[in-house]
Amino acid sequence: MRPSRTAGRGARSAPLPLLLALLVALPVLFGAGYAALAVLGVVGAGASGSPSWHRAAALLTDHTTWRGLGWSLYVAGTSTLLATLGAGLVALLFAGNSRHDRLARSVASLPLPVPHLVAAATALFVLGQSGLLARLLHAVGLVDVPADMPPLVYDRAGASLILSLAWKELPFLAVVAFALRSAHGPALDEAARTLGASPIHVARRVAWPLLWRGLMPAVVATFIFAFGSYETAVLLAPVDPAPLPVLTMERFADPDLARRGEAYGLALLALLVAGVAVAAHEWTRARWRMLRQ
Amino acid sequence: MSTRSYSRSPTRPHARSAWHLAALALLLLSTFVPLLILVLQSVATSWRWPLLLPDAFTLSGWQGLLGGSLGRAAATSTALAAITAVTATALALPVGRTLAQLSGWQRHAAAALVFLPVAAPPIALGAGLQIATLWLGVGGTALGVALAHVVPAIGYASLLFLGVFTTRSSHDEEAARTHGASPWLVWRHVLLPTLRAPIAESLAITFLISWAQVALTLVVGGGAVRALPIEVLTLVRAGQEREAAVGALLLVVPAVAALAALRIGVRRTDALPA
Amino acid sequence: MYSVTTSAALSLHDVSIPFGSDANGAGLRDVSLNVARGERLVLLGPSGEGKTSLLRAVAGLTPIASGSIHVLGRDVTNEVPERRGAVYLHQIPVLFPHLTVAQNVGFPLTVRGAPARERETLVAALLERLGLSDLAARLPHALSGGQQHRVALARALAARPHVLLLDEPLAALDPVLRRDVRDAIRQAHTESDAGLLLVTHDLADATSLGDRIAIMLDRRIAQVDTAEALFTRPASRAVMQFLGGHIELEGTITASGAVLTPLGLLPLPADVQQSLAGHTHVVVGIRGEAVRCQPPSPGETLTAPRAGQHVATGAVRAVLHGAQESVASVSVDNLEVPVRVDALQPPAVGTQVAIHIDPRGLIAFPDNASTAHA
Repeated sequence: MRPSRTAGRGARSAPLPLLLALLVALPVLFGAGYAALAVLGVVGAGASGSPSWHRAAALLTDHTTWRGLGWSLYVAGTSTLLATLGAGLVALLFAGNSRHDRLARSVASLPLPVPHLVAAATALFVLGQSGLLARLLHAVGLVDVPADMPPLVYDRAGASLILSLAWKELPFLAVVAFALRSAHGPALDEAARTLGASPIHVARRVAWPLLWRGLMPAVVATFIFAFGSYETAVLLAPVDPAPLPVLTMERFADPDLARRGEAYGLALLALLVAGVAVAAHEWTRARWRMLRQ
Repeated sequence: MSTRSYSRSPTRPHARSAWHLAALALLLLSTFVPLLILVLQSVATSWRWPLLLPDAFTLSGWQGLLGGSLGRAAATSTALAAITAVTATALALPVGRTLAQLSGWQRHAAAALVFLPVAAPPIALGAGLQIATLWLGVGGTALGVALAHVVPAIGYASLLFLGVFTTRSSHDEEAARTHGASPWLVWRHVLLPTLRAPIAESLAITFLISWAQVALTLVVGGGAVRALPIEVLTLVRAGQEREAAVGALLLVVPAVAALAALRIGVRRTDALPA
Repeated sequence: MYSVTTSAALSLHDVSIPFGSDANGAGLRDVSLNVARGERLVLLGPSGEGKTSLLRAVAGLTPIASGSIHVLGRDVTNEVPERRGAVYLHQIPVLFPHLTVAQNVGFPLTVRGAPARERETLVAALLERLGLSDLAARLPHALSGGQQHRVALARALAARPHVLLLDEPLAALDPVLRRDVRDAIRQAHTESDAGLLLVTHDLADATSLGDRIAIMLDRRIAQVDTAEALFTRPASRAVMQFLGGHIELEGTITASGAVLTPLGLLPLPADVQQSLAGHTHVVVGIRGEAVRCQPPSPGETLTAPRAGQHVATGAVRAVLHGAQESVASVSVDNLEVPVRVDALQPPAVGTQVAIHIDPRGLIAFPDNASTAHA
């Protein structure tokens, strides 16, 4: 890479930086280790002192565990897909330098710092059975009483949850997409045009393929944030299937100590998904860096 | 890019701009209507079905802020977020700089490790941190919660500074060293002044990470630390819509203001969501 | 009245580009040019003359204020870039980073909806022609700079353009790569009947690549000619100065039609004499190659020009040795005259030499400054 920055002390060997990185990750690694021991019943509430597969087996054979995990993955995946398509569309449509384009980009990035909790609370107000959407549909005569409104909140399809997460994540993906578009500059589009590509061809064969490749790391990050969001799930998800974060929190608060131990198993499961996502994040970043060179 | 040649092109400019306007309208509606609803909800005493607007208004929700539980929670959250932002940024700056020395698989490994606390679902992260803070004797206290918030914040800020130091040329540091500056003086007179923008960005983002935190606060604070998001979550679940809306706006306004002031994110492509 | 030359690959008529209309350069005024099919025309001029803007305007990437652009006789002034039959190549090759070399080269065929078989055949042929066959499956980031240029050229040819527009392709390259890319451009362009318009600020690139050279000065085309004609008959003093290599002297036309200069009385070629009709004060340009010197014959002392020869005498002040030529600086009265000398047998510094000037290397322009005073 580059020569050492600390001219006086000479090049540092790799162990120190890696050790620092390990230190930053230590709370997670500690948590994973503790959770593993707790699942085996070695430590924590209701621990017997000697390891047993009993708890882990109970958890892994429990239907609700897999339904919760699957449902959380489905919600996170769908909302991320929506947000990605939305962000890509916004970035492709409003790539120019006109007043419209700049306004659109500002508006699209405005909700970036809105907390998940606020997005979820707002979703209740807008999409609930007596929310604004239901009132608008009443105004045009499609809905008579709130009960006529198709349930978007606490529904098994997770409509409000997915929309709320997508609304929350779109600005971030859009900001990254804008940066990608402007980093490429007009040269690629120009080259494609003079080689015979129409604007539609440019969008389809050059702009979009590059955009989604550049967006991938952010998409993976978005996915894992959506997957882990507790407050959105607890406010908008149905009781069955209960999403993984809600399930975990319930077990934590369970008066039954054995079930409380299961919370660690669920946490471990969530960490496992996060680990895979982190690897995917780094992999997509490395691939994109390569293309950018 | 619009040029004379383009505008006279046989493709239909009207169709194009109609698409644009429709998309822009949708964008404006989807961004501002939810926020507008919060504002209306925060001042509504009664909003009967199927009215599109509230039919009676009050400022009691906002007046209740002073000396009320929402006001106290906002103060707690501000303190937590400020501590988190300063601590995480101060620690992450040297970490990011050190990690930038790595290359090849070591670099990828380090970046992945640092991203781990950011990506870990807060509840899962909180499970471990709850135990750790109990062992440290700060379980269920504001200090313990602040410690917990610092964990993902450091990860995020370290990644940010790793990116900054990867693209930053070290020529000015080298020049300062060969002109007789000690490492400390290089930090004081070269690095800190030239890194003002990323430092501000890091402070803002780590502040927001703590400011919006729910699950970590719940698990580590054990319900005893009443940060603003916890208070708002309770109000929403209790159906106290007016107070909930006031709290939600309280959560949003400083965040949006900070973003607008900083105009962050525009030039970052490696950044992660707040 | 202007008429479109249908045989020309590209005709520009009075094209003007307003200043500031394009981030890439200055505006330009009333440019008219023809590039024949299969011809390589080099647009040569100092930086900031709007050369890039002109190429971009031809490609449809920059708007023009007035004038018209024809490709193979078809008016494309208001045509979208993709339907002009002109491919624009940026200074630094712009390859699609997510496509392999073969996919990049096949891009123009893909967007035209060409059948896969046809595409594969043409791509293979183009890769072969530019020596890229082994790299077909690589992504652009894994290519060297020279290879990237070759891919960009192959891709441009795949569009089967009538006009190829190359923007300073050699400017950012080291000397070795420069030769490589020069060769690649020639390779790419042989067998193609596209007109090639190439922009450069480098005289050597222009002479090595251009069938003809268009000199651009003060945002206008100052002269379009072969390299040989440019050097022997620059159209103006400004062109002569831009090309460099001429010694400039003030002179006065005598009754005989010769010109009296500080280096003596020089006979002007007949066509130059005609172009000066009515002017007495002139600026004389002497091509460097036309000036030679001779050491005195044994026993001869050089104090004055030898009668009947257009010769001055002077003392050698210094000799500069270069890779191509060696030049002595000879001082004649108060004039320092650069004189090419035999590198293997240079005159000694301090010796007196006789200067010979070949009249075929002479050009002269009216001295506008002094006529104004007269």
